[in-house]
Amino acid sequence: MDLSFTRERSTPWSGTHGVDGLLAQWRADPRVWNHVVLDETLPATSSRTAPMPEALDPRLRRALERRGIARLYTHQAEAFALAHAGRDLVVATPTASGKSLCYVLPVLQSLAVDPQARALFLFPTKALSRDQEESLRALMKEAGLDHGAVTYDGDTAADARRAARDRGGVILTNPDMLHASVLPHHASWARFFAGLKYVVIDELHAYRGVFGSHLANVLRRLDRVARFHGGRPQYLMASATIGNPGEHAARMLGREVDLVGESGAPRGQRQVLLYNPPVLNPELGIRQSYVKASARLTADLVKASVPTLLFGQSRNTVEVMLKYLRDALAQARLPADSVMAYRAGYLPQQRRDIEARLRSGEVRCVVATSALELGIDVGALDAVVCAGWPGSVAALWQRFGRAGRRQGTSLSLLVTNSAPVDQYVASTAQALLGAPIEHARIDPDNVEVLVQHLKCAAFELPFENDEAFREVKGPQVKEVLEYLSSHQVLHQASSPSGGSTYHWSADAYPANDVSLRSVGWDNFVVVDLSTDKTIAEMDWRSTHTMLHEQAIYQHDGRQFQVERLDFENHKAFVRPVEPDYFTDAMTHLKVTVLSRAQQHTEPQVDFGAGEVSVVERVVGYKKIKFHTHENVGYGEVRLPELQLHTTAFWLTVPEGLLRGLIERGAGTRPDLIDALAGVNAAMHTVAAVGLMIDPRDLGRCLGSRDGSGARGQSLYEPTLYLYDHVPGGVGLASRLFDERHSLLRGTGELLERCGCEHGCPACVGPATAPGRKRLALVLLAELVAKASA
Amino acid sequence: MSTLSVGSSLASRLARLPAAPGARQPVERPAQQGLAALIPPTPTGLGPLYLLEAAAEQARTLEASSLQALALSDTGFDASRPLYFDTETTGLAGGTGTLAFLLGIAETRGTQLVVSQAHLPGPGCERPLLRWFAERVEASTLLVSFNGKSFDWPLLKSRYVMNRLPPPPARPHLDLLHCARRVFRHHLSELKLSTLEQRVLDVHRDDDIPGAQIPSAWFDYLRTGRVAVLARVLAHNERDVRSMVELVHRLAAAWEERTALLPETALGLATVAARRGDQARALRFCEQAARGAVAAQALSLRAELRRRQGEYGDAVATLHRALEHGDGAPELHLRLAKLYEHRLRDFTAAQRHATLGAGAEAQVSQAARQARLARRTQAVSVPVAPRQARAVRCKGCGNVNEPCPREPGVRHA
Repeated sequence: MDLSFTRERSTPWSGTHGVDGLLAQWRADPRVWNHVVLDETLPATSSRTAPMPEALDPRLRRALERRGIARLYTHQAEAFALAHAGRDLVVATPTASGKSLCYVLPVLQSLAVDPQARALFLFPTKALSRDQEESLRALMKEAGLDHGAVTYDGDTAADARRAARDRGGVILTNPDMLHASVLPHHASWARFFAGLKYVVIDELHAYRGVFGSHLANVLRRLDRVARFHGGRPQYLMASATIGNPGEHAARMLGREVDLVGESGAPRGQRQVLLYNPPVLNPELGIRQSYVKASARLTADLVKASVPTLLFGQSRNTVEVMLKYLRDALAQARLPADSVMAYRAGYLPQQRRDIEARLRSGEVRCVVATSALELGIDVGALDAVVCAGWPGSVAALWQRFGRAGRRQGTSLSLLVTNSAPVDQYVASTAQALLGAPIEHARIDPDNVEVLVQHLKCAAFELPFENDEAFREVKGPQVKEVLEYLSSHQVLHQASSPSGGSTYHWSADAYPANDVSLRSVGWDNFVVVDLSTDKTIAEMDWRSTHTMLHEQAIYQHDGRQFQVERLDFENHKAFVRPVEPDYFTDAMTHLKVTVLSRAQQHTEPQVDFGAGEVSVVERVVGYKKIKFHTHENVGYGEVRLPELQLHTTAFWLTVPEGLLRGLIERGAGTRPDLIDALAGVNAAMHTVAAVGLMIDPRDLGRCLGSRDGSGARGQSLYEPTLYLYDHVPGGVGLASRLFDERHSLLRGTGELLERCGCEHGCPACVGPATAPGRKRLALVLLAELVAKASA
Repeated sequence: MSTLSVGSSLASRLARLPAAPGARQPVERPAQQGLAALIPPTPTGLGPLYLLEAAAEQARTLEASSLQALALSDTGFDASRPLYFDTETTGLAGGTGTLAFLLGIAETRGTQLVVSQAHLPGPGCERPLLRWFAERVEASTLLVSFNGKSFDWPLLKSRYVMNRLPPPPARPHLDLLHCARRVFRHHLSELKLSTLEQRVLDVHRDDDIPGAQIPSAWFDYLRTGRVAVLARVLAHNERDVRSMVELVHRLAAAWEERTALLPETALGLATVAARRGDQARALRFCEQAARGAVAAQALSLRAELRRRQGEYGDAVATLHRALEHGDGAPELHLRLAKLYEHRLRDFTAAQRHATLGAGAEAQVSQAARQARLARRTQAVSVPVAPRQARAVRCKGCGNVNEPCPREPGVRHA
């Protein structure tokens, strides 16, 4: 199908050509190869197919044959057989292995044999559902199925919505729409729910953490509503590479799910490289810009006419790399539009256009953020370059999966930056290929999340006495319902059967108060006063440190000063300035333990996990000069404090251990406290990598055991806290508690492996005193010894 | 699977959640007997029905064709047995969690008009009320509501689904909100039933419960069993239903030209008549409206009606009258320019008005118009007789050489 890539293309320039040629060139160039810390070959696999299933409707069989599909890949045939047998299933095969056919065929089969059958497709983004609508309609038309396939989202017009409700055979939407618009109005969807045969959840891996916990609860509500109308939907799910697709899917549904994990699609040989840019300043751990390095290496690929996909971390880096690339190509006399940026907001037609031009060779490189990860099909390319660690092994393979021809060699290249996590990955590069792929974790029973969805569920249908909420048992549901009744949100009425029924009894629409994408945080917009335009949005959490008044806010390579922060209306007003400094907020953070859920007192070390209150306040800011990083002034900030109830893991260093070290002359008390802050930083890095989370999902703090002191004050029984950044927590703390020994060990290994002398951002943080790293290692060794004694 | 987070009991975690907005301490709920004292229940096969019937009054007849015209409806109305209905709900957000706890109707029984109200005793006891309403709809020929098309009716329909009852049969539906908006838009900025009552019906309510307090009256009754506030809701709902009846009759009388009208109302009716293609009636309403604040608008509409009838001279004269009232001058001049140029072929006058009407059209069009008129005034030195239009008059609507408003897409030329 992608044969166009394998054709020889005539090149208007001489020089290296193709992946193999370029690899040879790089190997011969010490400026490149000296910084390649991983060079591995993944062997090719061949295709395995199965005949078309007997049960498949002849119209569908003919439609597929017209597309040149006479046999299915084994995983597609397996999915069809399982769906046909009435099973819930999850398909977890690599990118571009034909996953969508795994769910499309069973759905179309059901529409072909039953005119009343309906299906619901959920995608995490609008763009994906629009894309799928198009290809689904095409296949339905070819098979002569006249059920509509309709995208139902915020952009759908009122008339089209009515038509979708009444006649849509397949509704394509997103979880947010299902949650806020479909379920609360389910009476208008009675016929749809009555006939609901399949629910398809594509990109299952995208629903992890809080978002995933919300989705699991939306599905609990969906099951409940469907059952009311007589529907019992079967679930067909598809996931990209994650460590636990079967478990994740089962947790999502609250029941057993069959896993289709063996791909029958063929793959060519792949070369995996990791490039760690050279160190410029060993003291500060500063490396050559990964953005520049990524652009330079990608330019080599483009010049060698290798179709390449370059992933950046943010829209900003994408823009910057695009500029660097075009500059480099202009010198090689290549047209600027042979490199294209790919933005989330593109319409299907624009995407089709880019895809077509990639195939024709007119476009040689596409620069993108993660939009492409989510299944949008530009076909398989010959090379993928990841500028910066995408946050997890799973995400890395999802991006790398975009490179892979059916035959010939393809290239996957990771360029690391100087951030701690990136350097941790680089320092353990050899383990990358064998590294276990992270697990997607959700906690559907997170109380904050559960309570909100029980409200929505009670709005949708009254709760009968002892009614379970899917796998949440009746008594537990009852406890929440009683709580809601006591807050006058529900009304408890005696039912004819003698028990109680809980009815929604408030003048409100609860789904409007629940946003699936985060719990309780609201974005701030940044308005440029010189143009009156909104230039950015920022999540609530970052507002305090990034958008306080007088702060220098950096955007798109330009500097702005915050003139006014309108806290009530969530707006920050900024004006462009050209300062010679940037600002760094100083925050005061305090963690107080509210309840201890797990505790383990080792002979001399206290580990614990439980509920905490985290109070954060921005007290002022420093002005720091560009390039020299001199401190050139201070300012005060008055902002309300942020309070967060969440769960934390902690480790208390016994007073005796500290005293012993001081007596042995290892260091002074302040030195030791400083080193503990370093241990905390390193532990945070190791925990973030281990939990498959964005480092920002986990907070850290060095405080006292009783929460009385905070950094900077004298601490009695200093305690290292790692806390969940989501209100109520999503279960990270208890996992850290369970893994406490490997967490300590991993932290020690990180410090030992790190090449810096006294400490750098990759391990204990930049050293303020020369002994920080050494002392941190001493402390860790003591802790490990005491903990396992 | 359902262990609730980090160990600690669900109850203690719930206690730590922030209080819901407006959360109050739980109160003891007394038995809900108060409602029976207010409205004696009638047993039905589906449970007790709390139905209140108010004193009947003499029913007045309605002309179906008038209502159909006011509704701009193409389906035939049968106004012999109208059913007026209005709900009081537990909220305005809609969705399956919103209940209609009070449903007031007015219907004709023989020569009488009877207002009745059904009240829910509590959530989960909707079936007797819903069954009763379905029977009332069944017996009627026409539904009349105020904003019922988009609010009350869909909300009620979903209650039938929620209670697994067959929905009431379909009937033509006259939504007074839309009618009133068309008729009264020239002098009422907000179109709530209460505004119409005061400004159109000259009815003023004493001690009326504000709409925003109605949901809490219900929730308060649920918690405490107190019905004092519910009695005010009942009175409010009965007033609403009676005002709808009154409003329909006022609108019908106005349409049938049986009452004196404010110029603003006459203009609204003229617009409705014009959209219905009832030219003669539209012109009569225009005459009534051609005084006071809306005179210019009325004359402007009249001119347009005359133009459609092929009476260009009168159209021009009417536009000149409209100009005397000052409003919308450029637009009126532009229309004059077009009539002078294309119909009366008086290019000099056309030129004068085109210049005065420059503000009403794009610069490009204005330039083209001026250039064309300049050519034409040069070419025609001697005034010629106005070109006679080959008038084709539609028997249905009376329009000449114009699209027929009754059958969109048909042009009578």
